[in-house]
Amino acid sequence: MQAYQDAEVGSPQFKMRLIELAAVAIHQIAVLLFQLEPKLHIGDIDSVVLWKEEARWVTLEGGRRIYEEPLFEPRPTLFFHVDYMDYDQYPDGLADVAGYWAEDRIFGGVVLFDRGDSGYEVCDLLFLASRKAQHLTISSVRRSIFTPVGSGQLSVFGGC
Amino acid sequence: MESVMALPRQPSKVSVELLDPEHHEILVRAIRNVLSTELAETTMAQLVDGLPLASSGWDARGSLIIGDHPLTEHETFCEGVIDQTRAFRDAFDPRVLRFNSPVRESFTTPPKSGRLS
Repeated sequence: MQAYQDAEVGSPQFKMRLIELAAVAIHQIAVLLFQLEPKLHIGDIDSVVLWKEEARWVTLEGGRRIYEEPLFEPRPTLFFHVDYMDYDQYPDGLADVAGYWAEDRIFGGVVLFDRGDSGYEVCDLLFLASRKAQHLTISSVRRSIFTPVGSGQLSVFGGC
Repeated sequence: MESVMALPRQPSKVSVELLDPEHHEILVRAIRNVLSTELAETTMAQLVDGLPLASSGWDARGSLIIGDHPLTEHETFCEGVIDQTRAFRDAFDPRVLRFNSPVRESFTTPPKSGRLS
């Protein structure tokens, strides 16, 4: 926030820092709402979150029978971003996962920052999307991370 | 003194109140603008509900939603969800937010104005 305060209103650095703080704010608000109890959903939330397909016998073409089990265990929340599931490392745990989910829904991706050499700068902004509809842009975001700053298709402002 | 010097540089958490009035006003307005969009309302309402809408479940990369999943029936918000989301938004005080403000290295150029510490 010091950097936002230091930036002249209207300058490119100011705009990037403003987006950074807005993204942080949205993430935090989502954390607060995720933690808020009670939930208003009518019905049992856990049974939906933890639902998985039952293992069953399936008859294949030709008559052979196999025992089919679900390939994946359910995640502990349905508010998730598949690239941000290390909730045991996040300060607010699963609530942070919901925060990334909310960033993705609202900003079109988790808002990432090129922190420059110092690790404290904002040289560029990138949006890492989770939604299937944005599958094509995901790869271009990833590419932009590995190419020089400012050349990414989804970068908002370039260069430090 | 040596032990103090050896402490890792940790960002301190600060509130929007430390900003000068102009920077403060613009940031708070930006946050409120984002929150007032229909998209933000729909998103936050799902958190208030406790379950995402089926439409959100389907279009997430890595989604495990399949035909029989009970979330597929969650097509609308439960009663009162939108009202409570709006009430939360209208009462929201940006002063509860905490932002990182890394302590500057002493050799960097001091800012022209409004130094936070």
